[in-house]
Amino acid sequence: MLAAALLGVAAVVSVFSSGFGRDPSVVPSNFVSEPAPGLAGPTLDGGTYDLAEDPAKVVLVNVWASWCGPCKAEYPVLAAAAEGLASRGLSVVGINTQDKPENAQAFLREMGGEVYPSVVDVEGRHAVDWGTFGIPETFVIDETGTVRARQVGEVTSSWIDQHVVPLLDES
Amino acid sequence: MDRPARRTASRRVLTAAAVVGVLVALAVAGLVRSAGTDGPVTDGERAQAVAASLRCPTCQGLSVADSGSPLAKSMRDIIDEQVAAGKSSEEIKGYFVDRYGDWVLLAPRAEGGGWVVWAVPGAAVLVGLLVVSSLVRRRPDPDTGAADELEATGPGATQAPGRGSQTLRWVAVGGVLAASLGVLIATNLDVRGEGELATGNVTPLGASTAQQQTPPEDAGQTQDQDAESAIAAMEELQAAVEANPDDVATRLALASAAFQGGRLDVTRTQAEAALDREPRNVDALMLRGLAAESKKDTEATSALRSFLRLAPEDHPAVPLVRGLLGEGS
Repeated sequence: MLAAALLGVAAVVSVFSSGFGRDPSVVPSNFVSEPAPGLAGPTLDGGTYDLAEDPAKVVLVNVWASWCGPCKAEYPVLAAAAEGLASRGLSVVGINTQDKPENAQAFLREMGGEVYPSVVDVEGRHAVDWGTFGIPETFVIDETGTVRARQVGEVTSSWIDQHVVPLLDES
Repeated sequence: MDRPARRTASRRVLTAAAVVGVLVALAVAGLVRSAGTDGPVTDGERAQAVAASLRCPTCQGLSVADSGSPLAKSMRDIIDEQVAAGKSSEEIKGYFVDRYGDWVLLAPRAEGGGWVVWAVPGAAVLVGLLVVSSLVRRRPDPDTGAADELEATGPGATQAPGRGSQTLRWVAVGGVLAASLGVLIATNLDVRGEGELATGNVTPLGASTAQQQTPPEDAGQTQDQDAESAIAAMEELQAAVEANPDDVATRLALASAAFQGGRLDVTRTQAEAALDREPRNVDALMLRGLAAESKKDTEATSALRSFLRLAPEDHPAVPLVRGLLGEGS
């Protein structure tokens, strides 16, 4: 009985300790190292986009909305990456989620014009399909269509250097 | 000499059994009542049941059914569609588990690591019963010390150690419990420093505006520092405001620092005091609007509207305020 009691104590402590030590707001992505979900549909600029047909080596998928503060802070970083790394095989695409397209277009005008396309996702379907928790959220997809990294919250240029640039150099 | 001792002991066992029986009956009755007898029947009920079993990704304490967030709304739409398409509740939950992991289920599955969560309460009750029954059996009878040995030979009885070794056991169990709790608390709980938030330092609302102005570095660190330095700045500014109550700029600096430090009450008082002196001050209007206590704070909403009317088009907070008011441009 002593053994049973000790076992019980040990089990409870181990369960609790793993929970206490964790930041509950950080949840591991189901998609990292897994195939990326599909992404196809009309874009804000009136065209269409299909992830499966994107010829780029690495694709950055960024979930954003005009009403989201951090999206505004990270937009210049993403725009710079889209422009500066395109020649090395990077393509950036947005998912403009739970947003009015006219607000999104105004946002892009204010930020100095649309640098990369954004798939329209008024109903938030794509956002759920990609398992997003909050906005912004960014996924790195490699040539094989596998999600290689994910960032919940704002991305920074050092994050791009760390998670995107090495993939562009892979042969 | 054995007989009266035995009778007392068996009477105790009977009483204990009766008490346990009543408790179990009450528990079962409660469970049956709370579970209800009818499962969800209509599509709407089924969709509701599925939504209630899923955790909302953006507001993690709520279920998808209870949350008002846009993402939860999208999830409810998807659930409705899949229910209408005839998918089973398990299939629909599977769709979300594929995207969000087991985390999205409010009640963990009884498989993999999840079974522990289901097994521990049962095991705890079982261990508790064993402990109680052994205590009831082993209670030394004043009439005779022989009861121990007699009962110990009964079915299901374990060894019957002397009182000394039994005490030792409980000391050992208690010691292990206390030690593991001590280790647990020491390793996992940090002392909350001054100015740090109970939310694990996830800064409220103000963080996004604060971050836009500072160069983006490590987000977590900047937020912590922001909150801490904001609290330090607040103390200084508070003194300055008291020294010179008509200085609107200082009041606004204090309101802004309080906002970054999460003290919305201070922000509100200071913004209001600033507005008393300068009713058309756009920064005061903005801060008053941002310090809204709830959606029903109509004064805050009208302050934000006045802000949009009066602020120059290139004011950095214009898009944020538009977003808050849910307005296009």
